[in-house]
Amino acid sequence: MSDRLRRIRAIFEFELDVSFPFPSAEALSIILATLTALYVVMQGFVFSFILFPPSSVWGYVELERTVWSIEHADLSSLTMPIGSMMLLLIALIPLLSAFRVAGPIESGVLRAMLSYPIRRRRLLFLKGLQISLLTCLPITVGALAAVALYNALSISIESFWVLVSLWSLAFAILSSSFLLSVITRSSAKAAIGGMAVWFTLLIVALFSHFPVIFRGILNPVNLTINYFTGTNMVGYVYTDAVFGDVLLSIIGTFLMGVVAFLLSIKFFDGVEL
Amino acid sequence: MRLARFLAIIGVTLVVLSYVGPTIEPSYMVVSGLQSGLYRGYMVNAATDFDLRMVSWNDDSFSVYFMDYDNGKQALEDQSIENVTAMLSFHNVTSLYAHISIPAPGWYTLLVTPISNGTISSLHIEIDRPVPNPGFFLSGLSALLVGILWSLQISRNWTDGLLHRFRRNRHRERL
Repeated sequence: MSDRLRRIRAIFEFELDVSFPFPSAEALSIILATLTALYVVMQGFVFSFILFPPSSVWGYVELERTVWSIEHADLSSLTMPIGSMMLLLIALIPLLSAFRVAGPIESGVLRAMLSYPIRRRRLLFLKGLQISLLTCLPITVGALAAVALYNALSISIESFWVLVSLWSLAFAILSSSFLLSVITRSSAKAAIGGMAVWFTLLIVALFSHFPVIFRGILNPVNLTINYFTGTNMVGYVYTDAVFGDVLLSIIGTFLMGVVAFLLSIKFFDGVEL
Repeated sequence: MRLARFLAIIGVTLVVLSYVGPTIEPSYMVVSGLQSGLYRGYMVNAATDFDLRMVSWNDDSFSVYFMDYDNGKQALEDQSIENVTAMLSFHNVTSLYAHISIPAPGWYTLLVTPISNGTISSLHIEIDRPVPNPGFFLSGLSALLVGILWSLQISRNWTDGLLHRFRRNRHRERL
């Protein structure tokens, strides 16, 4: 291992021990993974109701939906948990970012941390990496483990797209929360502001008179789920979306995150301690 | 050390999940008001063998067919069970308790119909999954073992290091 990598690893471990002493990181990860896995387990064993010969309440559309749900059971069992966990991330990531970026600036702990031979931008990157690993990774692992180990379903490429859209959105939330933290330098303002901004953006994404791409960039998870599930699931809102829209919205959200992250690095470099 | 502890904790969580999972999933259904000539069915996702319990509350006689997904889909498309092959079938019963062995994990179809000229006013179906769930349990146990062995290895290195330093200091003191 090169010296640079060894130093980064040491700072990563130091930052983890200072920010999330044992067993707080472990507890957070396990709560998120368990919640997601249990949610998938509850969704995965849907006993699809069928009746034949068809009655007046059970027509061909229901039959098609039943067959679709079974043949895409992994996606059906993932969509609800991922949609719900996305709402949890919108609350959790701004809180953790405020706690780990604005908090140390406020309290002066950041000055002590920067006495180590590490660049500010690298420290910010490590903080972001830790928050991503503590939030998105347990959700992804919990969901995939429940689908594969418990429900015994093969995981389709559509499910991976849903997970990619979640990671993309989480990165955008994280970067914007970092930006708010370094601008406000107040953990309370950054936490409340981050949550308020993202909840507002998600509500804006629900209005159908905005273009699909715009709504997709604000909430790529919803667009991806809706595109792959189509009319087979309740809550179908994107009637004219194509796969290109899904791809563009995921990339757009990621780019939005990159821009916010670069801006937060710029401001973080200039923060006076 | 932290990663080793984390693996052990993940292992314990998976083992706990293997016991909790089967108790929270929806595995209870009620069939009511089914007329003669109609079939009502459920697609069951099964990772392992399971126990099937069916009880008719008014002693209505019924027949049950258990088949794989392809045959169940065929029955749905044909609107008939004439051309399908059932893995198991039980005829003219008022209650049923059976251990269903499945050849491979996947979707299976359970069809229920009243006997000719009969009706089902209320039939309760319950599916009991095995506890613990083998997928979660085995992966949890593996993670737990790896975590514990890793921790022991790290603490052994740490203890060896301490012993080595202690001996070196004592040697220096003697000199």
